[in-house]
Parts: sequence; C-alpha cells; structure tokens
Amino acid sequence: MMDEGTELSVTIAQIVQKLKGSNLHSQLERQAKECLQRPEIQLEDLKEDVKEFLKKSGWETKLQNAVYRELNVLPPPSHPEAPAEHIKEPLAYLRKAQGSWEKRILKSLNSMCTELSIPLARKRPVNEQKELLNKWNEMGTDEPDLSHFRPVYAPKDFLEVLINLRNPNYDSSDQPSSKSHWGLIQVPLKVKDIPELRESFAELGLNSGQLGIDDTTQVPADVFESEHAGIGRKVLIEQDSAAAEQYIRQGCPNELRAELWALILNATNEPEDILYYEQLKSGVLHHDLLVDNLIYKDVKLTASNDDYYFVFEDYLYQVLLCFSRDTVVLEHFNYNSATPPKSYIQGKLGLEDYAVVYPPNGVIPFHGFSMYVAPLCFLYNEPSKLYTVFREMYVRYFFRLHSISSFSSGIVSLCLQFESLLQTHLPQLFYHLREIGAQPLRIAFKWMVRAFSGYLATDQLLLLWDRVLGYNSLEILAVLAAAVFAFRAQNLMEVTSLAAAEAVLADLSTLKVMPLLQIFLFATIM
Amino acid sequence: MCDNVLACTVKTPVALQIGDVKTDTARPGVFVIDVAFPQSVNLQEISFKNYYTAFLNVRLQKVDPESPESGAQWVTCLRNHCLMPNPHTEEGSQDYFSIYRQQMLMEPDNVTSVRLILRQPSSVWLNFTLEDIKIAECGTENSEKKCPSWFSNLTPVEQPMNLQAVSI
Repeated sequence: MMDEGTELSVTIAQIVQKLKGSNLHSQLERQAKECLQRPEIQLEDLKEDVKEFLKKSGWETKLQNAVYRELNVLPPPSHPEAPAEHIKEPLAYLRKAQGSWEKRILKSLNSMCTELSIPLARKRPVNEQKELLNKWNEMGTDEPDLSHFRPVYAPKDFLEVLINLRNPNYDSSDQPSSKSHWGLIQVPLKVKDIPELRESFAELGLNSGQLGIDDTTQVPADVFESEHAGIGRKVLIEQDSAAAEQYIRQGCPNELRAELWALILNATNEPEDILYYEQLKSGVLHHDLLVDNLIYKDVKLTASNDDYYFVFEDYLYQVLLCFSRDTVVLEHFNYNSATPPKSYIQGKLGLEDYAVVYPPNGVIPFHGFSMYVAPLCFLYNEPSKLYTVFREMYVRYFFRLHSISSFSSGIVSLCLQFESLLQTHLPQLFYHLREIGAQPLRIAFKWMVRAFSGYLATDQLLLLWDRVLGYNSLEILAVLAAAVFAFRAQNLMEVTSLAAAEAVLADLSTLKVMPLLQIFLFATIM
Repeated sequence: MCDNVLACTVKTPVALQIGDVKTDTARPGVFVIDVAFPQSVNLQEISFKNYYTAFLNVRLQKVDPESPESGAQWVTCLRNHCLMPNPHTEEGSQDYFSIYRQQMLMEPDNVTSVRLILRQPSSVWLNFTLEDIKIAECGTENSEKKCPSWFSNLTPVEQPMNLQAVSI
C-alpha cells in the first residue's frame, strides 16, 4: 500500500476537487472579498488576516464541517491500479451477484411496464399539471387505481438472494459441525465479536450516562440529563459537526435532535437548497414516472397503515416523488456496489449516447422504502429541510441496506454479524430454532433492512438512529437484533414452529432499546 | 516515482508440499512464483492483485556488479508481509497491493530474479495466488515523471505583475 503521506495527499486532493465549485466555495470567496473593507485587515499580513477573519466569523467551521462530511463518506484511498468497479466492491463474486440481482429487478419492472402498457415516463398535459399543483399538499386524499401495480421486490426476495451467495473459492465440502456456521449467510466476511464491539461502542458502557436509560423519571434530572442537554446546546452554538457526532453517541435530547442531525449530516437549508427542492417539485409536475405509482402503492401499503406515521402521508409523497428525480443522488454510486439502471431511447438499444438513467436518481423503490422517510417527519415540518436530511441519510446509510457488498455496514455483514453473535452467545437458542425450522435471520432480516423503522416505538427508534449517526455505522442494528433475541430467549425456547417464533417477536413496540443494547454488550457473561 | 514496467517472465506457481503432490489429499499451503529478468535491474516497485494469499515473502537474486565472477546470491527483502489480516475471512483477499523499494530490507539493486513465496495457512480456501504481477524499474534522475491528473487542478502560484514592463 502507499505510505501514509501519499494516502493523505490523495485524500486531500479528492476532497479539494469535490468542494471546488460548490456553493460553499463561492460563499467563502465572496466573504473573503467582502472582508477586505474591514479595518482589521492589513495589507502586510493580508493572507493571515483574512484567515483570522474567516475563523472568527464561523466560516472556517463551515468548511471543516464540509470536509468532515466528505471524510465520512469517501471510501479509503485505493491502489492506483484498482479499477472503479473495485472501489465500489472489491470481491468479484459479490459484484456478479449484485449485477444479476439488478437485472432481475429491471426485468420485473419492464414486464410490469409492458403488462400494464404504461410508459416508464410521460409528460403531463397542462391541466393535469395544474390539478397536481393544487393538490400538492394533500396528495394522500387521492385514491388512484393501484390494484394492478405490485412492488418490484420485497425484503424476503432479497434475503433469498443473500442466502444463495457463495464464494467459488470457498471450501464447503466439510460436514456441518459445531465449528461451522449455523446460519443462512455463507459468505466469510470479517465481523466483530463482543470484545471488539465493546471497544467500538465504548460510550454505551455501563459507566457512561445514556439518554434512553438515565433520563427516566426515577433518575433525577441533574444526574445526567440536564448537563447533557447543556453540552448539546453548546455544541449547536459552535456548529461543529465532528463534536456533534461525538456528543450524540450518548443520545440527543428531543428538543435539539432536529438541528443536531442536520449539523452532523451537514444538511443545510439555504435559499439555494430551497430553490433546488422547488425545481425538483416542478419536475414532478411536468413528468409522470412509472416509479411514482410504485411509491404511491408503497406508502399506501406501509406508512398509511402504521399508527404512528399515517398522519405524515402527504409529506412522504412530497419527499419521495422529488427524491426519484434528483440526479445528485447518482454521485453515491461511486461508493455503492450497485449501478443505476439505464434505459435506452426507443430503437437505440446499446448505444451509450442514447442511454438515460431510470429513474433519474437511479434508485428503484421496494416494498417498505417509504419507512426510511417516515420517522424523519417527526423532526422536520418544512418539506425542503426534510428532503435534504432524508437524501443525506440515504446516501450515507440506507443504501447499504439493500445492495450486496462486503462493507462492514452492508446488509450482508449485518446479517452475518447477527448470526455470529447469536451462535456464540446463545447457542442453545440458535440450535433450538434451527431444529424447529425457524432460522433466526428469517425473522430479524426485515427489522435490519428497514433499520427497525415501523417495528420500534418512535422515540426508541430515534434514540437508535442517534447512535447510527454518532458511530457512522449500521452495525448497531445487528447488535440490537441479537439483543432482542436474547431478551425473548426464554419464550423462544418454548416455541415449536416458525409461525410461533414469529408471533413471539411480532411486537417490538414495548421494547426499550438502550437498556437492551447495554445489557447485551456490557453485562453478558462471556 | 517512475512507471517503467519491466518485461519479465513470470513462471507458473509451484506448490511446496510434503508428500506427493498428485496423491496427497491435503491442499498446499505454500506456493512459489519465480520472476526472471533478461538482465540485472534496479527495482522500484512490485505491484500485483491478490487472490486469497495471506502472507508474502520476497527473495531477490542479486549479482555483485564489481565482481561478476562470484555467482548470484539470494537475499530476503521482505518477510511475512501480511496481505489478509484474518486469513479465514475475506478482508484483503482480492485487493491490489504494491511493495516499494523503501519497504524492502535490502536495496533491490542489480537483481536478476525475484522469488515470491506465498502462504495461506487457512484451509477454507480452494486456491490462492497472485495475479497481474508487475515489476517497475527505477528511473534515471532526469526521467519524465508522469503526474497524477489531479495535479493540474491545483491553483497556480500568482506571479506579481512586472509593472516596469507595462508601457504607459
């Protein structure tokens, strides 16, 4: 590998290239020019004085936040010989599996298109545009005929693909034994065990205060809660993303959460962002896409039926319809193992000049996709702000939950981590469930794919997502899934079928997330 | 830094095993790949794509330019270089690696042959090897260096205007 000095230079150059020409860059230039009028700027030390001014006025922190955002998202610098596909996903057989999965989804979408004789995209006539604009804030009242549409795929279809992943170079001729892996995932990825998890999640330990545990009514507020809230307010005044990320590992007070999440994700709501959202909205008005119907169907099937989220139905349409048309999302495919589907103008199949990405953001929604947005509606009521935060959460975290990759936060690693934790620490339970034909992953998969949205109570879900942001990783979802099984272990040992096991774990809405995680990680006897 | 990839012959990997290669059921855990050069060279970089090799040793056969009568000598220039931190799992298994002159124990000058000794202690893999082995030579002092493309994006240092050259 390159030495550290070279790696750092490459990273710096990549970030400079990314931020050059961005909105922040022009704002900084404008600020630097304007500050020349100020009396404290002297000609002799021009460079130093301008830098000092930018530091004092908070612009340096904004630049730091932008750089930190890129560092969080950039893959590690790769070898100069490594091609782009290797950066997306280093293992060849996983790339192949992702490619076949994408072909299947596309085939399903195309066949739905031909069956229903609906074009992938069409321009709306003017009166339809006017009608939609009038109804923009209440699209939920619309009852279009969606009976012929079906979701392109559901999480259980994706699970079957993951179960069938095999490394062609792996020796699976050994007889199943106590040494072998009992679970469904047969990909030998590196996952953390409990000692390593204790180190990674050190701030969740028994000796640190946590929101979700130390803010209950029995504990006086001045023990932890009020001091933690005071620190939170200070972090918000400083507007420092890195500090906010460290702070939120111990949870976030409800009143500060909206601003803190926006700070950590570096999601701004400047006039330019609002204008961009309005442009996307006019895109929705002008053109009707087939995926819009899939979004309608998904919202009607999932969020509208949920006791907590049905009130936000209209917001979900406003966000997801715009999301489908946002080409900024295409940038994340540089580090996503998936490739956006391309469709060709009629008659020009195979010619790259006539290829266009469909949908424009490259993401085909599946059954349950709208549940990624629903919890955010509790935090943001301005559509453009809600939209920017959701988009940032998607390109940082959620995309990993439905693409095949070897990344430590990818869904394959999460499934393997869940199964490993269960096999190591609850072997009797795992063995029993296997014997009755109830593989634990079949129950836990749907929780992890949705990041527990729709399964936990909303306040608990937001505490969980605080930690996802704080640790910049989704591994905590696998740990929580194992912790839930540990909590209900006694009941599960008594069941005799998959249906009964599902029934025991059907309702998670009464669970308290942080005590479960703390007990599983720090109080389990090993 | 230089990009002079050398022409060399990479021989097929040879398994080192106790017992008969054909009849023994156990898979080999060590392979040796020999790379030969037509004449003696000074190495800059050895780059390759890994395929499930866990550890790498590199030995060089050097000739002494002062006394060409004395035969070539084998020296170890890299010992137990780890490519896969955990040999049973996928990390590093298909990554691209480079070994630079600065990492080697001896100066890789006047080299006639390179021997790559691959080890994979884990029994879960069916095969392991190195692919796309490329060896780069040290360039001369004045050789043209190929700069990465991002160099051109750096802002140029502004030269102060030569006011005296401006005619009024």
